Amino acid sequence: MALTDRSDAELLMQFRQPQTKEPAFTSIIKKYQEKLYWHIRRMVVDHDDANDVLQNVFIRVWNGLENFREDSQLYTWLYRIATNESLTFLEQQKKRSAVSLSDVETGLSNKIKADKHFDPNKLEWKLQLAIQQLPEKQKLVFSLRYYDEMPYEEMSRVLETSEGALKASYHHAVKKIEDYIKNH
Amino acid sequence: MSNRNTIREELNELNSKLNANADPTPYSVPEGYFTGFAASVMAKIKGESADFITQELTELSPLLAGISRTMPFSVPKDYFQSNIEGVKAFTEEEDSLVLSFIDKEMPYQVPTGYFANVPEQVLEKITNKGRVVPMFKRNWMRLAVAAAVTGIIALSGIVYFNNRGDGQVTVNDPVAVVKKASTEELNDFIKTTAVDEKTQLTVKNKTPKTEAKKLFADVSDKELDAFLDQMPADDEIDIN
Repeated sequence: MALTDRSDAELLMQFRQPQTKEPAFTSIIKKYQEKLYWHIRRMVVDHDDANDVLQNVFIRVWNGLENFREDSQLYTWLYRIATNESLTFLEQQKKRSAVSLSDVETGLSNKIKADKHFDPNKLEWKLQLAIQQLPEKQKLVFSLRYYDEMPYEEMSRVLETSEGALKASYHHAVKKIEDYIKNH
Repeated sequence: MSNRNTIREELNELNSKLNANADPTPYSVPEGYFTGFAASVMAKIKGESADFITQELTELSPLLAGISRTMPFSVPKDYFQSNIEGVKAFTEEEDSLVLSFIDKEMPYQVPTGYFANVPEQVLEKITNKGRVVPMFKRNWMRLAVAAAVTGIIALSGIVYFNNRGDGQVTVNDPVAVVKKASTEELNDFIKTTAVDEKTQLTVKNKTPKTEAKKLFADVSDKELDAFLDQMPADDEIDIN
């Protein structure tokens, strides 16, 4: 059986054995990299930035997986790291260019428009622009619910926010996105 | 499909007469059965539930079965109406008509073969992480002497601009002017400035002792002595 087909519990066990640590880690990357990549990319937009953040995520996983307490699912933990790294990246961008967070969001919208495949007439691209108008937390909630179809219970562990607040946040995010798409 | 091929091969090896390609479910199902199945089950549940409970009550207590079930308690006017928006946010997700028309597939492109290389790149970064290459070599002595010299030059510039005679251009912010001046200009100024009785180039009485102490706090006496040896003899600098 390929390591990627093994359960998270098995992969964790393999990771904790010195002789299988690296192959197990490689398998964890292969298993989760795409999901995490797209989660990150929806936040930072640019591929190179997403790549940097993704690699930082897995370096943190390598350093921290030994002490992972398994009180949550592995993918919940991975998503939490990816979310925090994405937010840290955006915060650093804000500080580096000494601009407000709203300017960072404008910058991200400009990055979307600068994509060589950008087509303003396509709804998929309008949706990406609409998402960038949302505050960071709402952006995360929308992304996790709409694209990753994450249950609120799981999302509350990733974002460390109550389920009720997440539902309200998603409700508002959908309304804002609808309004943006209707008006643009 | 691969499982079926494996089973077929296995059956051939066993010379079995069983046909691996045969339909595993030979039974037939009435047309439209599954389509209406869910609805029929729900109807049964609802119907059975209501009838069952009424029947049960009648059997248990004909008196209770005869009493109206209308609640006698009153509720503030428009109580439920005012909660609708808030309740909806928590209990149901409105299906967005707009979003239903949008394909969930991300429009962003990913370089070909990107995901195949990620594990290797990450492992390479992890194994290289132990080597720390400092960006700058630290030479505290050089930095301390440079800080001392810069401080002296800045203070000299302040003294110079404060003691300018009439007819010269006044400077509103001498510190800013000194900062803008290059090191060479400041060095030239120090070398060429005439020192007379009135305008002795000294910081003895101009610079508060505390300021001087702060400037030279991290400079050793040995380094200062070495520096002073190199300075012109007519410059008086009191740092004590």
